[in-house]
Amino acid sequence: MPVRIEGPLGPYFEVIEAPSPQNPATMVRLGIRQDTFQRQVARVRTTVIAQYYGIIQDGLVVAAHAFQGVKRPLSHGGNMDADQSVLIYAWRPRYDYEWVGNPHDGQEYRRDPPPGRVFVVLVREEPQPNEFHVVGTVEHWNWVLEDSDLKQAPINWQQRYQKLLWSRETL
Amino acid sequence: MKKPGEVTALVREAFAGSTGEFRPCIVFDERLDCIRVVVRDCSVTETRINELITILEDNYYPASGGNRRYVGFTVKGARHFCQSQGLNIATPVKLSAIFDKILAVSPEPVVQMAIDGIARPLMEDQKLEERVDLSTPVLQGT
Repeated sequence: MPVRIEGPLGPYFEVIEAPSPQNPATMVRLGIRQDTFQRQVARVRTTVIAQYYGIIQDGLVVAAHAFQGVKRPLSHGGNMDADQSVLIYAWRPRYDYEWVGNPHDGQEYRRDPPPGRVFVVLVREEPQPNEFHVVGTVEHWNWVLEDSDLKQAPINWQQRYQKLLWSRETL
Repeated sequence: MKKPGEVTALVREAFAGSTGEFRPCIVFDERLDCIRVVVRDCSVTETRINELITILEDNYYPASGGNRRYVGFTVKGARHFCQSQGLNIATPVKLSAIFDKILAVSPEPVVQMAIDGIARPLMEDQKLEERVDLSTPVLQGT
């Protein structure tokens, strides 16, 4: 079944589906904020935008693991403990994407993922689901080295994250 | 999964109203409380050095590329760290001052290598503005 994508919607450039932090068998709605997306456009981060469309937009639904909390200082909105409100999804996508050329007439370069890496997406939980039923916002994405023990998880995930929420049983 | 060409169309559409080209930049990501320095638009692997510093490596840098392997770095928990270290964030903060504070609390060789061997040279090579505003998430560049 194709992933449902909506937007723009309120403050969100787009709303996409992702596995629930509580249970990967159910889906929740994540938003990518207009300002988050447009800031990447303003910086002409074409490869970052290509990765959003090619890897995240309809790929986040197959994430292999979800973690909660980053083990590092994080201050946001006066909250010095905002590190706990970050969710991390990780998996090994089938392709990586780069952009070749200028933004207007360049093109995607779909290629095999870098070996020994997994893709991570950082999500900030919304304080509570809002009128758009969005439970979190996509904030950042990149590749990291893969853990040697837990397949499709970031290396040394125990040092990075506070808690493993779930892993797919079929890994 | 997208068919070949679909991503191309979506990216072109996203940039339809924009002009300009990528330039090395320093950005304060207010929502994740980190300073990001990026000098090349490419697919990157982020390598965690410690809880404060992450190095960005080009996933496909040419084998003969030398320093072209490193394309940026992140100072994580920047505002939190500056506040805890007594750095005034009401006005733009010098990255060199943040580096010095990080090295004071984390003097391990690997951190020193990341800062003195990668981060500072990137800043100098790209002639990036040294001060970063941690009060608002504005774009800062060369």
